Amino acid sequence: MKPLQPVSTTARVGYGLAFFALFVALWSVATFGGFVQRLFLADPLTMVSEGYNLMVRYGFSFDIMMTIWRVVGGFILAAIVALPLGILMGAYKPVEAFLEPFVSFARYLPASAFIPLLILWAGIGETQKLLVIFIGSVFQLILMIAVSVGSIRRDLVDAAYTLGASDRSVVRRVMLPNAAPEIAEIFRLVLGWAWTYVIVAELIGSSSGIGHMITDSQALLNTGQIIFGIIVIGLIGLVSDFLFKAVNQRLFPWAQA
Amino acid sequence: MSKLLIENVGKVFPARHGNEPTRALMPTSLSVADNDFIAILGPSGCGKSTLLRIVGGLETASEGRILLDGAPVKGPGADRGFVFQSYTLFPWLTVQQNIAFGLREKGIPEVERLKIARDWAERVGLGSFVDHFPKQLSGGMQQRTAIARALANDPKILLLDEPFGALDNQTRALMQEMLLGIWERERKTVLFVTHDIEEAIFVGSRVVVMSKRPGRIKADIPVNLPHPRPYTIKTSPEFVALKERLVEEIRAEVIATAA
Repeated sequence: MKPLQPVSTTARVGYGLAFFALFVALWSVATFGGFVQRLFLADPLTMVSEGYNLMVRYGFSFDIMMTIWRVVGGFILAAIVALPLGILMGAYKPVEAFLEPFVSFARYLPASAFIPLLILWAGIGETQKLLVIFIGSVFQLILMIAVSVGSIRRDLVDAAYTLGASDRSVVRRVMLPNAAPEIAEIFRLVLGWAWTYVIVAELIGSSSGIGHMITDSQALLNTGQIIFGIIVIGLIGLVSDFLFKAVNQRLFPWAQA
Repeated sequence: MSKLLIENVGKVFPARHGNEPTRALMPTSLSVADNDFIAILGPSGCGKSTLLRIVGGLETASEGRILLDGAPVKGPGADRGFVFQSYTLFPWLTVQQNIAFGLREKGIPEVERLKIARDWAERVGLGSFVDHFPKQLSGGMQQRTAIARALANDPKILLLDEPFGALDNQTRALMQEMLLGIWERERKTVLFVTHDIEEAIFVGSRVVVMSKRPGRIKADIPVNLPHPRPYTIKTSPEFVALKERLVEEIRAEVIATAA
């Protein structure tokens, strides 16, 4: 292998699938080979049949939809708040000086630790779930958007001014479009993190959702169902990532390498 | 009456990290007539770009003032077109949209500004590239677009800060001819900063030579070569004589810097 030498698209897909195959193979050896007790880890076939049961008999697709709606809902709320704040912080230094220390502090507050408080404030309904996602993603979004808006090349801003741009125009017509592809990429990244919070939120005080199913299955020692739930989350993440990438490439053809 | 008047403009960069304040530019005066093409020539780091950026309003002068058509310059504005050495096209806009950027700020309706932009794209030889993004263009094409973008605003004066500095020699020569062609047709007032002696003589109607840092004007030499100037003029005896003289002037400064 030569450093940095590119691989063809077919080879890339092939390599990617190969690792999945290897992973399942190792799992099969560990479980079918009897190296791990069934009680602790279900084998791949059990997992598939438990998954079939979940989908067909227990209406698991409803839980999946609930979880997706919570993540997307909470994330959209966070994005609506974070986008204007992040842009203002990135563009205007006094706003940054005012908000940055607090946001940096708030970013380290673990969203999951807020769950007991949020249950107290908002009950165990949907509001509480949305708030967990919101708290978990909003501060990250603000900071990352601020950095990407503020890291514009100075000479692009200078060029805009010499073309007669006003301060407002520099923000709206230069800094914003310049940061747009990176902001889209930040959304993709933080949405991935939001998935971790939703499951935690659903583990406690919930009557639906993937996380709820996982706690239920734990009580029944059904590791097949737990693993199926985890794999579903992984697949949804993969699909949303793929969609985000496709949309970004469509929206920002000028930014593609 | 002069178009642009630079009166005792100097620049001192303030002290930082316990260092002494550094003077980049001695108080400098220069009078630029309407339709003049002035090449400002000097060794690297002599403050020639600083002077140009002050005229452009991108830096503030520590002393002195600048008058454009009698009005003092405060900050950057559309009346002074600026072309940078680095590539500063907006990557998210096409060639046509880039050229139309300033026109939109002026509130010119879309149909008209796109028409003006297309027109300018054709004048710099990019008529068939209007829908290309900057990353699809060569360095020379990007700088041609940048020149068109500045000129589409119809500025009173065009300021160029080593615009061809990053280009290869062949492209550079073609760009000089193109710029000269535009100037001969449009008769804009131009300030052109460069460290390339041949380039300064070829495009300029006056060459202002600056000393080593802190910069001051050392010589102000008219270039009495006829227009239009074909590239072959670079081998004419007058051109060569002028070049020899300027080489001596610049050489003395570079030696003084190295010493």
